[in-house]
Amino acid sequence: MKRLDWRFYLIILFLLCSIYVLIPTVVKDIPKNMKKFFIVEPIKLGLDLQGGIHVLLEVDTKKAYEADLLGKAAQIKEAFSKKGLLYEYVKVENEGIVISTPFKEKWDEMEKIITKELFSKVDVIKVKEDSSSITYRLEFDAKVRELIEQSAVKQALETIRNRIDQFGVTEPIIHTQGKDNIVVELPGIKEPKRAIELMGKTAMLEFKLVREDITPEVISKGNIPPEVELIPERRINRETGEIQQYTIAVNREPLLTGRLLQDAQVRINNQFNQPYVWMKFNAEGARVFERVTGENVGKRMAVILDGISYSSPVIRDRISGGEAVIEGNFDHKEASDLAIVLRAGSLPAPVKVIQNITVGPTLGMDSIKKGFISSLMAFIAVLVFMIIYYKKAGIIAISVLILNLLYLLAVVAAMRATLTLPGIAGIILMIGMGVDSNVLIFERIKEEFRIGKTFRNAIESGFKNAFWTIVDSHITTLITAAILFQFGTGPIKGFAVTLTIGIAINLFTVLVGTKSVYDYLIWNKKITKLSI
Amino acid sequence: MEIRKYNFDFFKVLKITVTVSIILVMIGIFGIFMMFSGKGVGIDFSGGNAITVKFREQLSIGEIRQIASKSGVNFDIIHLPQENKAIFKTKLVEINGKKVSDILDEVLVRVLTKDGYVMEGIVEIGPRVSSDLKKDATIAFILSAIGIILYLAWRFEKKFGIAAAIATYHDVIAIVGLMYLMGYEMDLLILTALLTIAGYSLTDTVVVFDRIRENLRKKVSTNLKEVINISINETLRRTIITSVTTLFSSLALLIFGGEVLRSFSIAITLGVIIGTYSSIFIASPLLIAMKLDPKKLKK
Repeated sequence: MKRLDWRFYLIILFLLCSIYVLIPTVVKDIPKNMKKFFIVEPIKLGLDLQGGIHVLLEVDTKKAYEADLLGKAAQIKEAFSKKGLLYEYVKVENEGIVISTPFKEKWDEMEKIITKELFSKVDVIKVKEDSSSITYRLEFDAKVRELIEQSAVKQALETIRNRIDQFGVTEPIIHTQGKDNIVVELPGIKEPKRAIELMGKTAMLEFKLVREDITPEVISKGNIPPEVELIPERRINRETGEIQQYTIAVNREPLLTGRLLQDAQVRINNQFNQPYVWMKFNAEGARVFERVTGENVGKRMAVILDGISYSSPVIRDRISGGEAVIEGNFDHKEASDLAIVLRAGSLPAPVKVIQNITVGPTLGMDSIKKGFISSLMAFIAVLVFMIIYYKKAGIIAISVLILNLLYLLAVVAAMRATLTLPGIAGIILMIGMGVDSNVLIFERIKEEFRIGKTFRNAIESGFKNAFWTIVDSHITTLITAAILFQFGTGPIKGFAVTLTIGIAINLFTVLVGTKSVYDYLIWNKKITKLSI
Repeated sequence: MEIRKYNFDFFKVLKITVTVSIILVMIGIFGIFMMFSGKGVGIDFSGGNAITVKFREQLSIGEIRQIASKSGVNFDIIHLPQENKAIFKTKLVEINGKKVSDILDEVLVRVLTKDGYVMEGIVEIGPRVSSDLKKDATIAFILSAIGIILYLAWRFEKKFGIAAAIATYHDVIAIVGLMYLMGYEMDLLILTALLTIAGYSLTDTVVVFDRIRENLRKKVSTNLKEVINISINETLRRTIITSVTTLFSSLALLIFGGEVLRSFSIAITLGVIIGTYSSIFIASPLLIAMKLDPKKLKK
């Protein structure tokens, strides 16, 4: 240990690496031809610092399952009809399908169709039997349900990703979390409210036949047949622009849904200078559309989006070509968002925003500025104190502290870890806590002097004695940091990352850095006195 | 070279410190109890909204309150006159299916017009998110305690581990109580502060314990009480200096960190003070209370 040894060079090497890694963060405009020399990108800032939205969506998987059961019920009805089996009803109730038929002797045949031909993993339970009819309930295996729910979440994720891509956001982060949650992070977004509405819209498009025989009198008497439902309709008064709400009766069973849609675009109505959404069906959709309009000439058809009818024009003639429109009192943005969601497809089930953190760009800038001032102030205070109290040794401690901070930021940048506001707070605290290991060593060296050791011996045994204290105290803190990382979410996780890296680096700089500086000073400069 | 030796008898004041600690912990347990029953927790744990609005023109707190009252939502308002901002807080997420942020937005547009304000930040948290968070935080705290005890039991002796864990959680619980008394609501930032405090206090305790172990091995005295007292005195200067430099950091945050980090910095500042106190007055006497047997010490 007579010369500058490998430890010193290691420290210098890491220092150079850190500076290299941090250049893109500090220098904002690197010339284009220089950019390829910097492989590490600037430090990634959390949404709380750069602005943006973090939204947690919950997919209503129960609804997705219900929708699936409705499909299954329809399958059963179709199979029964094909075989000429008569039934009283097949309906979805309490997360199961209930079938009732007056022809008890036919049940065995019906059950065989259900369990052998249509579905596996289904329990058939007898609910009720009396002289006139027999009622059974179908319940599907929990695994079947899980699969359906999982695929609904996956499909919702894809649909939302599609919508966000069409909306145009750079670097969106979209992933599932837990069983039925979807996390969407959109950094630097200008119109957060609009983006959230865009994601959350179910965009279930349906065309249903209006039942004009269900007049308001029938409704008020409550004699609504089971195949009919009441839905609101928005009508716009062209002169006043006012929106009025009506109630209309439609068939539950849609004639056609948005599933077969091929394209949707915003068009402008020349007469009223109003934007509307134009839709085009694919070949199959166009065929269905032509057939159902042909079958229902003279009747009214409601264009329904998410349970609200936007118009219910009379079908004057068979419509070929598969084109339709949605008109409403939309402004241009609303219409273009509607076109996006129709193009991207509907969500398999409604989603609900259960967490929304929106940070405006100015708020984030403000936090960065305050974090910077705080860290500068903390640094100056610690610097002045350490130099006054420990004199030259204080300079060693401060140098080690600077190394700590540089290494920490460099590792954060290199690991592409996200720097959040709590992370910055953690770094500021590190300024104060980071000198602790050096303080421990200095105080220990002083004690060794006190018991009469020579300068060199005092330093050697000071280090030796402080060594395990430093290791033990760092490892216990590392344990808590690691557990935090495991169980923390979002901002806490970010904090745990900074904390863990910080502790590890501190351990390194003190045990390698401080030690090698002292060794160097003792052996090379032949120093026999140092002010501590 | 100035060399001074401290020689305080820390056991002289033991009665006072034990009383102080019992009171602190009782306040803390009361605070935690209130939190689990839903009081004194911020929206991170209860669900709700925190909306930061920047106004174009200077508004007094009275004017802001008056505008907010038109929304029909009972907001807690934090006014930041220097920045011309206000933070509107409520435990409600939505009213009749309408988002609270939208309700406030409508009222602000009506009174201040579209250009009169900017909604800078919205934090909206649903009830399920908050209950998951509560569960995760509880698990993290329990596992941390087990981890600390195991490590220190391996490196020292199990009584050291238990004493360190108790002293650390004494601090965390005391801070929870004090923050509750000061009217701060428990949120993610304060939780982060508590974990930082736990780390700090633990380091402090381990430093003292390490010296106790060393002095026990050296057989400085046959009297455990005396060994502990000597050890605390020997490490006192380091304890104080590190507290001072850490306080520099936490005070810088408190003064320059702004409103968002206020509760965090207060918790840390209190934590540094209590953490230092507990490693001297709580952790070490606990070793005696638990009848530590020096012969069982690991080599």
